[in-house]
Amino acid sequence: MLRIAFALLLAAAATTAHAATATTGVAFVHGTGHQTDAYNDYWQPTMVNSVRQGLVNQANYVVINCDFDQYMWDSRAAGCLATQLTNFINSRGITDLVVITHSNGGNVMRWILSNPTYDSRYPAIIGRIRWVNALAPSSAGTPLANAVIAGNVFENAVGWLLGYQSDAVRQQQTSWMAYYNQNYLYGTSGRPALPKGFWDVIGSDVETAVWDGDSYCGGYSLNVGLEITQAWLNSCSDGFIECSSAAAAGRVWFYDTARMAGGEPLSHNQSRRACFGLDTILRNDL
Amino acid sequence: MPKAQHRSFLLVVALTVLAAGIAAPAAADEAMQLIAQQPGDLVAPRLLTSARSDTANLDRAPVALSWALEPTQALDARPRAHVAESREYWIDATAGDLQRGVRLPLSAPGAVVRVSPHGADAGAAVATSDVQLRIDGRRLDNAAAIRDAADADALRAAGMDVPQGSTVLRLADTVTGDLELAVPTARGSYLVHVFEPRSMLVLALVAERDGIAGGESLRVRATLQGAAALARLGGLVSAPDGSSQAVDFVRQRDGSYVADVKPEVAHAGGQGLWEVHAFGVAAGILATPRDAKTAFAVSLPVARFDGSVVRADRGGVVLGVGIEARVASRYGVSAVLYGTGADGALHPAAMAQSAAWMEAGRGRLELRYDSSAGALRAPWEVRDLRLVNQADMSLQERRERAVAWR
Repeated sequence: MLRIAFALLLAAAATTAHAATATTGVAFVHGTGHQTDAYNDYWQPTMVNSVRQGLVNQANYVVINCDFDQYMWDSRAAGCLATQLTNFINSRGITDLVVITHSNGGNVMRWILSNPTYDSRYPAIIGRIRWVNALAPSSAGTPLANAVIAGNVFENAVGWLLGYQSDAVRQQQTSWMAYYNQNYLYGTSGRPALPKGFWDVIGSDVETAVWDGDSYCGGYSLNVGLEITQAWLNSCSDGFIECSSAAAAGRVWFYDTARMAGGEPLSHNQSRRACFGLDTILRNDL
Repeated sequence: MPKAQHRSFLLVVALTVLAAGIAAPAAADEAMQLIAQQPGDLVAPRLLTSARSDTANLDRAPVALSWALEPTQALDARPRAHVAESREYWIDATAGDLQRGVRLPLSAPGAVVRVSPHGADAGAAVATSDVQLRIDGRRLDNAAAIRDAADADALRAAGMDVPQGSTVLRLADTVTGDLELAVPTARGSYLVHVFEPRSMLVLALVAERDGIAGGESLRVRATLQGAAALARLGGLVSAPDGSSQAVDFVRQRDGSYVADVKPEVAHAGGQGLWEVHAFGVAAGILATPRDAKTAFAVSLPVARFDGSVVRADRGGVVLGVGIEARVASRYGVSAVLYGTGADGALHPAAMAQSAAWMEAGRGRLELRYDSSAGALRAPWEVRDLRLVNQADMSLQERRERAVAWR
C-alpha cells in the first residue's frame, strides 16, 4: 500500500511539474486526400475549436494540409507532414505535442514514428510528441480499397499507369498494409512497439435513419454512403474501416459506444467531427 | 483512457543524432561475425551494380535512434505470411454482353454487385431503374430484389474511391443462384464486381514469403474453402509498373494449387508492391468464380551485410555493422536487442535504427542501444537485423538472428 501511495505521489508531482514547464500543442492530421483547407473541409471549425480549448494557450494548434493521396513515405505526404509539424514546433516553441490523426493520417504518422532515420527531421518531432490519438486509423487497410483496386487486372494495369487510383488507396489494400506492417511500420501484433504511444479510437457501426437526429451528425448524406459500404466490411466497422483494422496498431483507447454520449456509434465521417462528445474527450486529453 | 494511464505507457526514447554515421572500430572494440544464415533469412545470392532508384532527394544527414521495448511483449521471429481471402469475383462485360445479359452465379444470399464503366466514363453510368435481374429466365421485380443502391457520388463521399459512373446494388436475401444481369441501356464496356459477404466459398491465397530478392522465385498456394473444389485456377503476377506475366498453378493431391513465380527483374525497383492474382472457378453446377490476390515485394539487391560486426560498450551497447554497397545510396539498419530475464529466457530490450549515406564500397553503420535495459542481463542477442535501401525502401537483407554474446 505504501508503495502504491508513493508511486501516486511521484506521478502527481511529475504531472504537475510537466504541466508547469511544458508548452503543449495539438496537431490535427487529416486522412486520405489532398487537403488545402482541412480546417474547414475535413475537420470543420466546431471540432478544431472545441478541442483546442483544452490548451493553456489555445493558439498552439495546427491543422495539417498535405497531399495524402500519395504513398505514406512520399515527400508530399510524410515529408509535408514533417515540414508542417517542424514549423509548428519551432514557431510556437512546442515541447509537448499531442497529435490527432484520422483514418489514413494514422498511417502517415506511424510512418514517421516507425522510420525515424529516414528523415533527419523525424527524431526532433518524435521527441516532442507526447502521444498520438488515432481516430479510426486504417492500420490494417480496408477491404474497400481491395474492392476498388482489385478486379479486372487488365483494367487495373491500365488504371495503374493512368493513375485512376491514388497511391494512398493502393496502399490501404489489406494485403499491402500487411506487408507494410511487417516491414515498414511498427506497433502491430508481433512487431516492435512504436517509440511513442499510439491510441486508437474505434468506430463500430453506422446508424442511418431519417427519424434519428444522431444520423445527421457529420452529414446525413455521408452516412448513407457508409451504410452501403458497410456491406463490404464485417459486422464491427465504421462504414470504411473494420474495428480489427482500427485496433491493429498501438493500443485501443476506447470503442465509440463505451464513451460517446448515449452510447452512440461513430461512423467514419463522425469520428472527425464534433459528434456525441468526441471533441470533449479529445479536449480533456490535452 | 485516463490521463495517468495514458502517460504510463510513455517509452523512454534515446535520441542520438550522430555526428558521423559510418564509424571506424576503436582498439578496445570486439570484432564479431554474424551468425550463420538461418532458413527464412533474406540474403541476396548476388548484388547488382546498378539500380533504377532515385536518390536525388534523399536526406544526407546521418541519424540514429533507439527506444526501449516492453520485455513482456512477444515479437515474431520472422514476418508473418498474409492470407488473402476472397468471396468475390470480377468480370469484363461489353455493352452487348450487358444488353443481352451476363451470368452472375451467386452461392449465397446478400450479394453486392458493382457495375463500373471502363475508363470511369460517367456518361455510361447505369441507373438502378435500367437494371434487369433474371433468375432461370424469370424477371425479378427490382423493388423486391434490390435492397438498396448507391451511385459513385455517395460511395465517394463515404471514402470508397470507385470510378465515376459506378453503381452498387445490394441484393435482397431472396436473390441467389444463377442470376442474370441485363442493362439494355449499356454502352461502352464495364467491370462487374460481385461480392458475396455471406458465402462459404472462400478462395485463400498465400505467398510463403512477403518479399524476395530480384532473381529469386516465390511459392504461392491457393485453396478453396467451403465444401467445394476448384475446377480450375489461373493467374498472373503484376509488377508496380503495370506489366504482368502469366502464372501456372499446379493442382496438388490435397486439392490446393501451387505456383512458383519468378518475377521479371526488369520490372523491379521503384515504388509499390507486386501482386499475385488467382482466378478460380468452383466445381459444381453454378461454377461460381473466385478471384484473389496478395502483395509481395521484389527488391533489387545492391547492398548486403559483409558479415562483420564490431561491438563496443560505450554507455550502452554499440554495434558497428559492416555493409558492402555496390550503389551509392542512403542505407538504414535496424535490429532488436534481446537480454536474458530472470526466467532465463531472452526478452526484447530495445529497438535501434541507424541510417547514413554510403558511397559504393564497404562501410559500417552503428546501432546504439541505451544503457537502461531494465532487469535484463547477459547473455545478449541481436535479432531481426535488417538492411534497407532508403531510396526505394527495399529490403536488402534480413537476418532472424544476427549476433550473440555474454
